[in-house]
Amino acid sequence: MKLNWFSPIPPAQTGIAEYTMRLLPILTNYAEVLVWTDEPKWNLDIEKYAKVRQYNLASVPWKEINQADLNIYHIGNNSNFHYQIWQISKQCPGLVILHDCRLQHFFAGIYREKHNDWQIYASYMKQYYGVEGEQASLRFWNGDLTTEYMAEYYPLTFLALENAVGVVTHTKEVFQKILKHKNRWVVGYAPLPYVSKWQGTRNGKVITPPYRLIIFGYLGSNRRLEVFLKALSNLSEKNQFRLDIYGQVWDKNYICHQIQQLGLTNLVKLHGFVEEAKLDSALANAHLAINLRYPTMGEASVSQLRIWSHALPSLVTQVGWYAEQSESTVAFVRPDHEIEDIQQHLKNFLANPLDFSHLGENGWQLLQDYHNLENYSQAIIDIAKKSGKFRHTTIAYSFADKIGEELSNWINYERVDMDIRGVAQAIHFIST
Amino acid sequence: MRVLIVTTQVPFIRGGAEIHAEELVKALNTEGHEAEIVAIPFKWYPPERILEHMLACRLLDLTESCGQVVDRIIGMKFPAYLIPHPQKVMWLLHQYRSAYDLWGTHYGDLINAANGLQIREAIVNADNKAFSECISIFANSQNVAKRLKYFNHIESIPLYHPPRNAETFYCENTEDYLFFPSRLWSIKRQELVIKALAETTNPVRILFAGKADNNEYNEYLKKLAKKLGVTKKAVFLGEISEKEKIITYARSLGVVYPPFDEDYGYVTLEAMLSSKPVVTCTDSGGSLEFVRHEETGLIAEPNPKSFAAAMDQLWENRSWAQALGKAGKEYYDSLNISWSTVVQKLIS
Repeated sequence: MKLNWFSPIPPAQTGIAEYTMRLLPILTNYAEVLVWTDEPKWNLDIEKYAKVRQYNLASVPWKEINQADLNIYHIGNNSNFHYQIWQISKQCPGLVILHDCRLQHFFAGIYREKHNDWQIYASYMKQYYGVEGEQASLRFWNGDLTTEYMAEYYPLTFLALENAVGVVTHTKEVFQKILKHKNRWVVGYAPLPYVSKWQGTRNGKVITPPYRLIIFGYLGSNRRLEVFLKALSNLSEKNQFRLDIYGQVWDKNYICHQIQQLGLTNLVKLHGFVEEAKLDSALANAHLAINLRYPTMGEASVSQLRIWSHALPSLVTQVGWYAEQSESTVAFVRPDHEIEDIQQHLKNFLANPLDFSHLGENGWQLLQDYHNLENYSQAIIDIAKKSGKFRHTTIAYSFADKIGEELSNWINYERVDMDIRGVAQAIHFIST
Repeated sequence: MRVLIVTTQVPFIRGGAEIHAEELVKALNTEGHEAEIVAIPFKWYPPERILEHMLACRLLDLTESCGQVVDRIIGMKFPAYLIPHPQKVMWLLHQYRSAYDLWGTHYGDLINAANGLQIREAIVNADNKAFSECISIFANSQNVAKRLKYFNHIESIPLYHPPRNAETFYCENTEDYLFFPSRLWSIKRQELVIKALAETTNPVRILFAGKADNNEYNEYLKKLAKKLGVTKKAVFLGEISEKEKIITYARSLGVVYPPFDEDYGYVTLEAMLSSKPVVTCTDSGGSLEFVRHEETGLIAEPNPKSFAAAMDQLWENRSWAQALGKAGKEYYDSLNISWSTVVQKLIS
């Protein structure tokens, strides 16, 4: 099988570029892959596994693209990395791999930040959410609604799938949603693969107080840092813990002030951004990871996979992809009982740290069994094969749209029964 | 029997396919049937139009007209042959070649479209179904039958027919020219012949007759001839009448016909009817079913040097050229190609 792979690639600073880099050595065992990029330069290491071609939207080499059996498009929320890919996917049907399931950030990035074009944005919002969506788009444009709010209520996911023949999701929830919403794509679920760069051992950790808690990543307000600090400060056994915070905090001064106000100065340390190896070392030495998110965009969490790669137990919010995980691998915090649940888990940890260690061990095993490159590659190839067979059938949807629009101009639907049936049969003849 | 010939017509473009349909109607009427042509206008760009034309064809009802049953339809060209009918016979001129044998070649444009692959698959899918609806399937030539077998795994019977006015072609004393009657179109490869003219060692002269599908190509050929210094050797007659065509055949030294993978090719047959040898190419398709190398003509490689050598051979050996032409006529006669045979097979 020959695949065109449209993805950001290193040196692009995105996890999806890293994902492609790690996946290609395995994927290319199953298919011939041609990687397409809109960037003029790329990390030459990628060419050990696949040829790389550059494209630009002004002059797309369709002839070469059409030599492959299928195009695979990677769509995520960063419009800088995925805008051109989406443009290609709109023209040439293929398999879309959804790295984010709520794509409002992506489309807002295109139409508000790049093009400043409310008309088009509003027309899409109206198309998918009716008059309510159109009105919301105006309020959003005026700054009355946040992107997070829009993502929660108007995710625009299906706009990215308009010309798709197949969809791959990394979460079961999105998989079910797409299946239910419209039965028009080949839909597949494939657990996001993860390969650890950490070379150290995961055994032999000393489990004695003070216990090291760790929070890391881009720490926006949805990471519940404030809530966690509050929960910790009210815990009578708080002195048995130390909290290390790695990464960028959305408002560092505010958080420092909070730490001080809550009397946690001696227990909490802000490290800021550190090198990958140093973060891995910190994870290897930690006893419990705090990986809360509320609200969540719902996508699979690379951070969680990284936590499991260190066999580290963790607290996660019981929402989105996290809620799909087994209780044998994570400890859940309910969104509406955050402080209560956090404190209870910390107390349980103190009472029996080994029980928590098992969560981490189970998570590590899950990572080996399901989130591996081999399984993932096979899943992508299987779905790609099915999608390829399905390609021409999607013509039926564009026909239906066009004919529906045309008929609506001159036909009274209450009286059309037979005519519609004839058209449907003709579409069926061509497209299935 | 009331018979409709369903074909496709690109408005203002006229070629062998149009003549073919008209001749078939004439032959059916001569045999006592009532026949007419239903020609569907066709536009292939942007590629989505192809799908729309396909859909339009599927929505047509030709089972009856004015309350009288249409006994049979004979499908000839895509997408007209998708029109449904319980008594559909296929006499395939060719399929939508950009989706089949021309896919990926210099002559096929569908592969350059963003949704080309999707449309190609839809065409193949619809073709397969349409062929399965037919009560019998004939092909215009062995070459067309071969393509149908290769791409769609469908068996068909090659069924030859005579060119228009077959009985009026004749042979006269030869003059100093070779003849190339055909629409000026890249797939007919006038370009190759002009380049070959520049390689000939004799003062070979060629009369090109035919109208260009688009004027750009016409201009391009003339500029090419000028650039290669062969303007006196390459004479463009433009569109000529049927009578002029027959005379020009009759007085020619031979006929050149090197298209890329031709379906059938009236030119070869008309040359044989005029007792003229044909110079064609190893990849010219339909003409290879009739031209036998150094027996009824010459088969060259599709490059200027090889084609020039073949033309030089005819130019230098006039009596041999005459003998090849005569053998070509005898071979044609031996094939018993007739409209009555065609009608009998299509209507049985």
